[in-house]
Amino acid sequence: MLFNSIHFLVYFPLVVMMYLMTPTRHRQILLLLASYYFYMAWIPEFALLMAFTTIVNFYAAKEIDRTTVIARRKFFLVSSLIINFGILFYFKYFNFFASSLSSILTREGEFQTLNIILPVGISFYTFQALSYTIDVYRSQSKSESSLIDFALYVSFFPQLVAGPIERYEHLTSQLKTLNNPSTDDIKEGIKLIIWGFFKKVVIADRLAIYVNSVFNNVEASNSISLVLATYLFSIQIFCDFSGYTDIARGTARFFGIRLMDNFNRPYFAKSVSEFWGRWHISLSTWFKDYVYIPLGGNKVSANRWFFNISCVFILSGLWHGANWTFIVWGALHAFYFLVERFFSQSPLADLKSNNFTTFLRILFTYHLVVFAWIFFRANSISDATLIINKIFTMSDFSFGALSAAILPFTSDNRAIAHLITAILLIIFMEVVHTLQEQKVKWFEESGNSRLAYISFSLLLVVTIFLGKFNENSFIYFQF
Amino acid sequence: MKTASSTFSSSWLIKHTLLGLGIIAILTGSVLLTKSHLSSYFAPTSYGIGGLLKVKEIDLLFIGSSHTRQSYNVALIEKKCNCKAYALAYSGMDPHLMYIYLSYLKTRNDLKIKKIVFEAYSFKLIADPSLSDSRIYSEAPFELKLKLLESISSNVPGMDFRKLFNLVVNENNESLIAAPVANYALDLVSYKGGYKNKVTGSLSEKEFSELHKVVSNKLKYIENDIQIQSLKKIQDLYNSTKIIFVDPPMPEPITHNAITSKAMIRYKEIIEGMGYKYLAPWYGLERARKPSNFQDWNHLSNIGRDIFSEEIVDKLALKSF
Repeated sequence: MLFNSIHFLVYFPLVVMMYLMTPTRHRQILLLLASYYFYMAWIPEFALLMAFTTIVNFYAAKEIDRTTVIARRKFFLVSSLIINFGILFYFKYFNFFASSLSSILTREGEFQTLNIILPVGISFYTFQALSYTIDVYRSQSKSESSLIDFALYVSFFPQLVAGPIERYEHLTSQLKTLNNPSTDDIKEGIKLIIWGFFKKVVIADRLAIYVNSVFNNVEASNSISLVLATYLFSIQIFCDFSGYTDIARGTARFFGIRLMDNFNRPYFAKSVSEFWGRWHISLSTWFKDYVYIPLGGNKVSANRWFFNISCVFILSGLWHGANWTFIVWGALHAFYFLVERFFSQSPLADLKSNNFTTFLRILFTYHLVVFAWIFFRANSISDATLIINKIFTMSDFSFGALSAAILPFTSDNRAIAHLITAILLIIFMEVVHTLQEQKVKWFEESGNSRLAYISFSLLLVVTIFLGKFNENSFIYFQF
Repeated sequence: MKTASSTFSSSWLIKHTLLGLGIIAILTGSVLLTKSHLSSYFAPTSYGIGGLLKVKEIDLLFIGSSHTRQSYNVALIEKKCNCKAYALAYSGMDPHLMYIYLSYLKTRNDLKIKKIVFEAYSFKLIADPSLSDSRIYSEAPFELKLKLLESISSNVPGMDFRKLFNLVVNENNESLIAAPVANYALDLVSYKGGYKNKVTGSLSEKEFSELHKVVSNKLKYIENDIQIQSLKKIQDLYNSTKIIFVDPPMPEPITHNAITSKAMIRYKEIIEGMGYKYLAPWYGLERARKPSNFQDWNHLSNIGRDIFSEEIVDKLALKSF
């Protein structure tokens, strides 16, 4: 079920109403059923897969916790990892590796690909479930005694299909005591949902029209439209994913649950390493805690550290999708990271920081990230190289190309109006983000509650009038 | 007293839900009403209905779809016939919509139109009524919007609640927000509903020779009654001296096709049966076999447009204004 669907518009108030009417002790079961219903709205059979993952991790963790024999603990952890990654590999990576192997060995069709559909959110819930098993193995968590509570932890519908990837201790401690939400929860929930919808249906889906039109037709697109599409994609993916996270966090607040924030104005990062502390935070910290640190982190030789960083970023790229474009995207970020670390030890790093140099660093980092997005969004490596070639040679530049570049918005003379509107909306979003960052809570003060109503009602009305209600899926659902 | 972070009560929830919904309903209603009444004032002045209503007297009005916009060089025609012309053209305008537009224009006492050239695009006889360009609705004055809504909600297949919601609430708000800049930009490329010096590409010989593939063999000739009735109702609006039906030129591989030929013959039959004049000026002529005259399978190039515009003045004896 998509958040931006009529189905969800009916489903969510119903679940909230039923939740409030259900006695506290039965609320876990209600939310579990609601979550499975939510998931089964796509392909019902895949709920079995999620249930299987849940059961495997639940019992593996139980067995790990029950014994102090290291070999036995390791056995159950490794078994759980093999099963979880095996399922993930089968559904997400098998075809990719089979076809890649075929082309490497130049034996076309040697390895049969399978006709399989990727279960939505599989990477998210697998990682979330695995983090629990690993935490139990590391004795950072006790094993869960209730299968229902654990199943709810894996399947809690607001964050089921695109995160944030929550940690067991943080989420389950809240899911175990499902009280009525406070008025603050409801208010904050509504605000987050409206803001998330604004980012998704007003900005992301608007930009998607242009971005999809250009990236799906690279050959015919001119260099200026490719530049514009690349910049717009950077905004689209941020609004799409952070919009989803806001809606997820907002809906969870209706049950009194606080999910972690996944974004912190990533495009204002002053370095690539800072970017990764601000973008998809729950995934970055997952990789840090469960891949980077077990590999030795930075307390290793330079060569080993180089390997660790490359490994984490390439795996992160592969996590996003079974395509070479994602691997190159991850490798590119690893390269940025390593070069950045190299320069951080040079005399250049000692230069005094002021507003101007900070601005330059933000601008430079943003462009590095935008360049990498080309690989992330391109349909293939050859498309990505063609885009880069066209952008950097600008061989087709002309004033005619300049006006033709905006056409993919509507294919007619309304395109300029769409471009102007998109720019105004992006500026508006950034103004709001700046106010939020500076903790301007003028609409949250009790004396200004009417102002708060009007502000958020206006935002909702803007969303209704300027939203693109085509039930576009969220980009991160495919991962 | 309840604190800001207290557990909410059902009375709190009901009160605030109603208040929130009330504010949203009032705001949405106000914006919608304002938009419906005022959006026509933000319409471009060199294009569409907005531009037409700015002009008080028109000697010659071309009405139709993108064919009309692509087929007539308004400036050239004005010069040749020494008259005031205007092309009221929106993509996908069909007889069903053109009739609604003309019946509205008829009620406008402040607008004088001497002659109308009605686009007789033969394919439309077998097409379901549709609204492919939402500006047909959004740029229309309020009274015309009501007429359009009434008709399209019952006559356009698939026009469900969601599509109507999109049309009325959602579509073309960008044009309102960016009107000052967007309309200025449009003025640079438009002249009285037509293109201003637009240079288009032309079909290559190879592309032209493959045009016959465009018309699907699976296409069946099934007349649409709403389109035919709309054509027939034109009689209630204008007599035969006021309105002429012209099928804009199309490449010969398209017109020399069983379905198109049948539609053209039928169109002619209906129009002449009503006692009106029907013209398909390039049908069977050498010009329709020249790739450079066409931009794509059904639109003239700028070369073709200028040739056709020069000819049409003579053909329709438009010098008499």
